[in-house]
Amino acid sequence: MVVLAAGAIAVTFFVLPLAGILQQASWSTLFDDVAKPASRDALRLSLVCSVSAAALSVAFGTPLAWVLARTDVPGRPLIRGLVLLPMVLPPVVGGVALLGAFSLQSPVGGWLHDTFGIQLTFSTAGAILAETFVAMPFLVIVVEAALRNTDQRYEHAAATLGASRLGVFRRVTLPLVAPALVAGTILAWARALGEFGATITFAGNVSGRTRTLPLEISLRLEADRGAAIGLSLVLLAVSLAVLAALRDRWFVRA
Amino acid sequence: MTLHADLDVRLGDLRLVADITAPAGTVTAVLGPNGAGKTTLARCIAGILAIDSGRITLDGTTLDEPPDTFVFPEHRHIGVVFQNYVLFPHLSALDNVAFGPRSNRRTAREARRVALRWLERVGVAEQADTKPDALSGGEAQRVALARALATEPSALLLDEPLAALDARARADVRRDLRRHLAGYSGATLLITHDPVDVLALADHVAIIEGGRLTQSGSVAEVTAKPRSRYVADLIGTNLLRGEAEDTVIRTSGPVVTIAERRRGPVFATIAPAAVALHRRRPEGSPRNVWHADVTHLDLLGDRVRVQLGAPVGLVAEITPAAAAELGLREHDSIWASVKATEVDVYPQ
Repeated sequence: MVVLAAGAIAVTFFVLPLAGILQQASWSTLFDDVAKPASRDALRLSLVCSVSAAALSVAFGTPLAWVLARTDVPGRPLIRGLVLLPMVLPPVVGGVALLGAFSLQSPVGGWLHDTFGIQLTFSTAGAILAETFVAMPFLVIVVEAALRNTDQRYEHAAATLGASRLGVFRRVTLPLVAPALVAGTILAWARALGEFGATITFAGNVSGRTRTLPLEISLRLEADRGAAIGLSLVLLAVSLAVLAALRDRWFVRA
Repeated sequence: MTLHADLDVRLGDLRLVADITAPAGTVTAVLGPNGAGKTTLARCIAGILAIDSGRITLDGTTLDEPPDTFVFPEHRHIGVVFQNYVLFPHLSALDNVAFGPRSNRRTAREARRVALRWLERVGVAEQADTKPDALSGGEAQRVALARALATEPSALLLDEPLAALDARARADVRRDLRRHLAGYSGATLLITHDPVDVLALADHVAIIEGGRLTQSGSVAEVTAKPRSRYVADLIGTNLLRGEAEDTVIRTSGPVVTIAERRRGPVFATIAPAAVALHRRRPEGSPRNVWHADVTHLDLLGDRVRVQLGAPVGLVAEITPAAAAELGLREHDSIWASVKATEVDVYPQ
């Protein structure tokens, strides 16, 4: 009985905020709220940054997952720990850490600026970097697990048929882990889309350049509550879509 | 295009030491119990596992000779039919077979044409568009064979090609496999734990037990003169090992009288049918007479196999009529006799 009651309270706890946001929404002005120039800028920027972060996560995270799953480079547990750290690290701390590494005063940030004229802080590139920092671990962990669960004999068979290392990876390994790669990409993208702490700490809150949806919502909450809620609904809808997209993966067998 | 592997490799608890030669145009079986190191041998030859020392050559080309030479599997030209086939689950039967030709600089169109020809040859062309999980065991085996042969390999490695099949499919597939292997000009290494595969498919056989090569030679030689308990059990004969002096062999079990003079360590085989059983001690000609307990009785078709207890430890094979006449039951005490001329002796 006590367990059931606790469970019911937990469910209520999750349902109430959801109901709250729906109840606060002014449906009649929803379209206008979301279509305001500032909202549209934030939407566009969020889309650019999160898709870029997801793409970077795939481009660099997939090879990293392969290295972690298939090779025995020294210090693998340590590398894995470092890669997964952003999943448990408070995003603000991540932002502070990124500042330490890439601000103009840091060696790397200074060098990037002096050599290539790239400034990461207060720029869209910085927002993408911050989002990639928190998003890539999701892709790495999902793809690495899939690689570990794939029978290596498929890769051996491909090699005996004359396929090069790259050919094996492209024609056998990738197709076999494709579902995991899709799921990992969606997870990473969703995480990037919602990123707030690391972005605002590292890239700042510059309209049109680093002010993504979550930042816009936070800013508007006082002045223009309707818009804030409208944009929140957009993110909520995206989240539900993500759940729906991944349901086969996690919710069928449970 | 002879394949030669003289290797020493350690993998986990297993250390495999073997020296095996597979001449071109012949089928060499590697026979041994599970866990003997057969698949490890296959992995070394295919290039999936590097050997610790020794040398693997194919047609005179060194494939693996630590520490200097190691040819990666994609450059060995060895076709492999893996245990359970390992067909790529995301590709159709046709694309599985086309995978090899495609990897060897053929255009996609050409590769698929070659693949279709191979599927026709092994008789599963109508399944060209089927994914592996929808193929029957026999079909999957044929696709796997076609996939391995489509690269025109210099040697062929078959790892338990029939083990995944049910009894009925196995006989059919074995018959077809025999035909395809006869038409293949390279060296074939057939890894199996089933002596029927050896008898049906192989010219030569190498026996691997506990990571060691215990015997090799033509199938006829090995079955005529088994050198281990494992082989003797497979062909159903009694194998004794002992020290011969004059016309007597002292074994760890019975003392055996033989028909010719021998000296030194020898093997002796006694066919189960040559072991006669009696209720009373036999008189006259047999030179070997022992008293033993019946520990086990087995009806095998039209024969009864009688396991005799230690120290004699032989198996006798008699007709059911003879067993009935003797009133044979387990735990009975009985006399066994073998004529000296029925003991086949050869040096260790």
